[in-house]
Amino acid sequence: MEKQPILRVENLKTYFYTEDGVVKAVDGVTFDLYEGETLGIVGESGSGKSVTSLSIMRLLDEKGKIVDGKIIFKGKNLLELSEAEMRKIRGNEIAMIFQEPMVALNPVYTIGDQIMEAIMLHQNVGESKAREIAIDLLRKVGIPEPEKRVDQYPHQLSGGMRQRAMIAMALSCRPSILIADEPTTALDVTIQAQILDLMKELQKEYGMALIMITHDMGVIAEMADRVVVMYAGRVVEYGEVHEIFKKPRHPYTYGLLSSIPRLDVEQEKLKSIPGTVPDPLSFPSGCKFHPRCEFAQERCKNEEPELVEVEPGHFSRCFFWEKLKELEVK
Amino acid sequence: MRVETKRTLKRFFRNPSAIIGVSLLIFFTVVAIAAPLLAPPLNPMDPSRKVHDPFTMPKVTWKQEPVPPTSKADAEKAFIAKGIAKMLYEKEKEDLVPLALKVVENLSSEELYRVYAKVSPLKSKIKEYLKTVKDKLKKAGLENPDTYINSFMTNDFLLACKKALEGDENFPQVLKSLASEIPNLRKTYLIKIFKEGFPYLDYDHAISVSKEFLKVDGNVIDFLMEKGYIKRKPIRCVDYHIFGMIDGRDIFYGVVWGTRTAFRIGLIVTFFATLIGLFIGSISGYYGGWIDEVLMRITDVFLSIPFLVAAIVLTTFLGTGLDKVMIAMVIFGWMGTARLIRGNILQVKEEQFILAAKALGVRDYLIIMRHVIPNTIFPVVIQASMRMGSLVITAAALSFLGLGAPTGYADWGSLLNYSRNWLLGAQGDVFKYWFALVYPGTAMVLFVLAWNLLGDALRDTFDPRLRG
Amino acid sequence: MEKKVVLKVENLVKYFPIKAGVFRRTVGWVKAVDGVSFEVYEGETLGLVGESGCGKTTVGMTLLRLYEPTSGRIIVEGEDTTHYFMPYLKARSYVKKTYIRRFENLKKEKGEDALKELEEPDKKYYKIFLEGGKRALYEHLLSNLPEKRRAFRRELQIVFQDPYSSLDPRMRIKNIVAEGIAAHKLADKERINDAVASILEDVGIIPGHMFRYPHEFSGGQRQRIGIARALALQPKVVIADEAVAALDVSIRSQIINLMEELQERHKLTYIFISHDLSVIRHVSDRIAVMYLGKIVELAPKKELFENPLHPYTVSLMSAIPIPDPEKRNKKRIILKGDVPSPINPPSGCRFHTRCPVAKDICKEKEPPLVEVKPGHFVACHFPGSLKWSM
Repeated sequence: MEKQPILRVENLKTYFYTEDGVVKAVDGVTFDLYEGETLGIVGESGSGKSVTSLSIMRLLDEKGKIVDGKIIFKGKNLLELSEAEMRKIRGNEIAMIFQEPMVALNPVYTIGDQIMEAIMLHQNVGESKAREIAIDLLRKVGIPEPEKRVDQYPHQLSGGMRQRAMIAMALSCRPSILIADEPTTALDVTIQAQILDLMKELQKEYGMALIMITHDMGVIAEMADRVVVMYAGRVVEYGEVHEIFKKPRHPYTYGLLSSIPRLDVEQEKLKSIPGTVPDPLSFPSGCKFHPRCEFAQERCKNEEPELVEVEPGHFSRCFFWEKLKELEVK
Repeated sequence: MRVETKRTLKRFFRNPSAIIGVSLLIFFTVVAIAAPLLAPPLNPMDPSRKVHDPFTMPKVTWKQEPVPPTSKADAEKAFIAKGIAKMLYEKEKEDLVPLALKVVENLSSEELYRVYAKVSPLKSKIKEYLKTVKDKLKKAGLENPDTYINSFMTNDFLLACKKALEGDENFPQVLKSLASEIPNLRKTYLIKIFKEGFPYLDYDHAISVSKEFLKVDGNVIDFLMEKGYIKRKPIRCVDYHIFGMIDGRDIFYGVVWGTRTAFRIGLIVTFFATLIGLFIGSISGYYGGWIDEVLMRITDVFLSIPFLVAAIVLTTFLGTGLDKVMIAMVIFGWMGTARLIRGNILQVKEEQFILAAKALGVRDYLIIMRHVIPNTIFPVVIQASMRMGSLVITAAALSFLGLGAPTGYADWGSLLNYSRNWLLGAQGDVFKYWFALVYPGTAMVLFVLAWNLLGDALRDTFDPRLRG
Repeated sequence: MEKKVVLKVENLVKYFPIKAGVFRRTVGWVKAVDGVSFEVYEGETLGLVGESGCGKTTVGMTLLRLYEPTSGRIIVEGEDTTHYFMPYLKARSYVKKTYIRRFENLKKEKGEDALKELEEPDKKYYKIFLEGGKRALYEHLLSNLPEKRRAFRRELQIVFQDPYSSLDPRMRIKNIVAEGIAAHKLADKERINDAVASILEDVGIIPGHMFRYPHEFSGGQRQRIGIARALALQPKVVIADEAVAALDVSIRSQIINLMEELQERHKLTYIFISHDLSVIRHVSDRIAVMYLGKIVELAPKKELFENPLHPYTVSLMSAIPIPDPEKRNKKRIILKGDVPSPINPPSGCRFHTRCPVAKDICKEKEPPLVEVKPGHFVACHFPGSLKWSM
């Protein structure tokens, strides 16, 4: 099976040069994204999952620098493109939706204006045609009475509606990749269910690839085909969703999965990962997870493990991944 | 905290505006502290003062050593001198009487003898002086030097002084006429009169008498830019007047001592205005409800009064003077702080640690003192430092309107006020009198700039929104 | 087995005024909590779950009297505490309205027989009323209010959601934890450090770190400090308001485990407020589901999960993504629309606008919270009509 990835991130390194030192937010991240699939990127705060997506869009602030790596989209390295060329790709080919739609939407323009702006920017259509498309899009994302809503301002919409409007905006140019950065974190569960449902449907309809960034293992299990688990700026595990959830091969993934309270099963006591999420200014030496790892040995302190293929398509950055295999057998 | 403090200081001093601001302020502070060294007070009463300045009136100095009353006749003379003072005390129960009493009581017979002995040489000294002035004016090409002398001398007090010096028999009358004029006397002249009318007083004594008499702090004398020359026109850098002169006053002296005035106005007004603002703002913000309503409406009323108009009205009640201006600035300067702190408190009040403290049963005043104020004070400090500079400008504006510092007081605003008539320079030479404006103006601009830069740097360092 | 009730809430109502215009006139009310009643038993964990705007946090805040209740009674350990934080005259009129008038009528009608019908604490108060007249009851309820207030503060404590905003950034950890101890004079000045050290150790913070500032700690550690602050007063009831919501996933379980351990060690009673039904399921003994200011269902955990009766509870359960890709293709109930505004809640059953099984009656008549099985309360006209299984 020789599928060509639509997006390939290779050894991406994004550092932030702050007053207090260099934050290696993303430090050698590699993954592929295939057409039409959903890739989940999961990680805690400071794992670098959001910075990865911002790096792909090249939307970093002035302190952030991509120091190394390649982002190959349809054969082009996005990091080598000029700002003007990048602008054509942004929103048109790769679109993004954010956690807080209220921040991402401009409060002084109507929803319609903002969608139409994107349409007119990338497609050669007039204003009335753009408005038609905008209303169509709003209808498609499940906003009732789109003819009326198109002229409303973001604050007149509820959180769920705003996120729908954001999605409509992102879809306006039929992008081939949609990056969703914690799209449902700020929403209530019943609304989250609506939005996730909508995203699944739209993905099917538009046939686009989706990068879903979240900290919620539930959302990942629900949406993703393949999963990238990030910790301290590194990919620690990478593989197919069933593999990751059933046969985690990195102690972090394993700990994460066994520490979440589950709705569907009764648990006596939660397992927990000891320690704290490391400070991005001073990541530990060796394996970044070793201070919190129950399997850690002397070697982990000094030497950083490589991302190894433990099974076809399933990678883990751990020296002792086989121990987890034994654990499972027990 | 040490690490945090270090980090904060590092961040602060990495900011160029902080470095410029702080170094400017250090410079001004040094100037203010070292003012007596940089520009020694030209106290006209100081007999030890050496005069080698062509633009200063020559001081009447008394080289002759006092002769103790050795003979009987001398003793009589001293007795007569004492009698003069006594007569003054008994007959003229005027304002001057307590002073005269003091003078008489504090003088030993030797000193009284000196009074007597030195009245006659005084006459010739004055004549000598007037002659030198005349000569100087003539040399300068003036046709009618007498009118100039008179314009300088027309002042009743100096005329009286002149008369007193010409004929010592009128001395008590002169004192009497002076007494009636006391409320109108300008301090410079008063000091001159003391110098020339009571030449027998030594420096320390003169200070104490003038303190009593002027009802002012001894320091005031330091803050006086002595009017050393007749002309008001700016005069360029001559001798030790390195910044030149204006209105007959030394600009360098005014700029140096004006630094102290600027600091004083800024610090005192900011301190009290901030204190009042903090008090009203924190009560208003913390308690909310109708207290907030009332206090904020009062604040609105104060804000709606134009400051200059209010200051003018206030000085008609209080009288003019730098202290009155400062009171006016405090009364009309606290509203910004009050609003700022109220806004901050409204924000902080919603923070969970305040709720937690309430839930713990901590008393309200402790919550305000321990949690609310420490978490809201920084913007106020920043605002205060920003305001420090602008207050100096306001004070200068009030001085310009004649409400601020008294004539001759060392204050940048006053110096600029003097130079306003010479802004356009001389005919054909626009920049002729640049120094009159540039030196005090630069001082003021730099002072205001320093505080603003400091405020900016503080905000950059401490503003929670900019904090990582 | 009769369990001891530590906290009883009766018909709690909290409206927030909406002010507008120049004169700040009240133009409407946000009906954040609109008639909530429940009991909390000693040593148990009551989970309060609902979406944003359902009033769960307001319930917590009102219980702690950080907000004054609009109406209703809050009974702690058999004593009415509702009037503790009112100004004296208001408290007096509250007592008059709630007890004196009622008891006077009762005495006229039934005399001592009424004792049998009354529940605690009314029974106790009626006894005092019969013995000493209204003066004795006033005395009993209104004397020593400042003292009672302090005692109340010790009984009930709170752990907040945001570990960042809940600790004063300008105070050392020691002072944060010691603040309550000092306010209630629970330890001498010299012993405060020891007291703080032992509490910090209890929550898993190295006591040697007590002179540090909050920003030197991570989110999980800060939350531990927040717990330590609450425990410093040795409270009976701890209200945990979304105590783990802001934490990273790997830290969340640490804090949940810690809270469970502490509950065992100190015999604590928890009211656990959360929007996350999975967390609530893990920690709670009984669960109350709230929607738009009302409790729609209240049941022991096992009963609720095995037999959810209210359509809202069912759809809430079905909406939560399960961290198991095997279960992803399960049919889920997706509610339409948004939560209505608590300013103008829908008529009748508040859930009818989104309810998949709503009928005409739901629009008109509000269903009361009734006990359908022992301990299982539900407020629905058609309980159990929406089926869904895990």
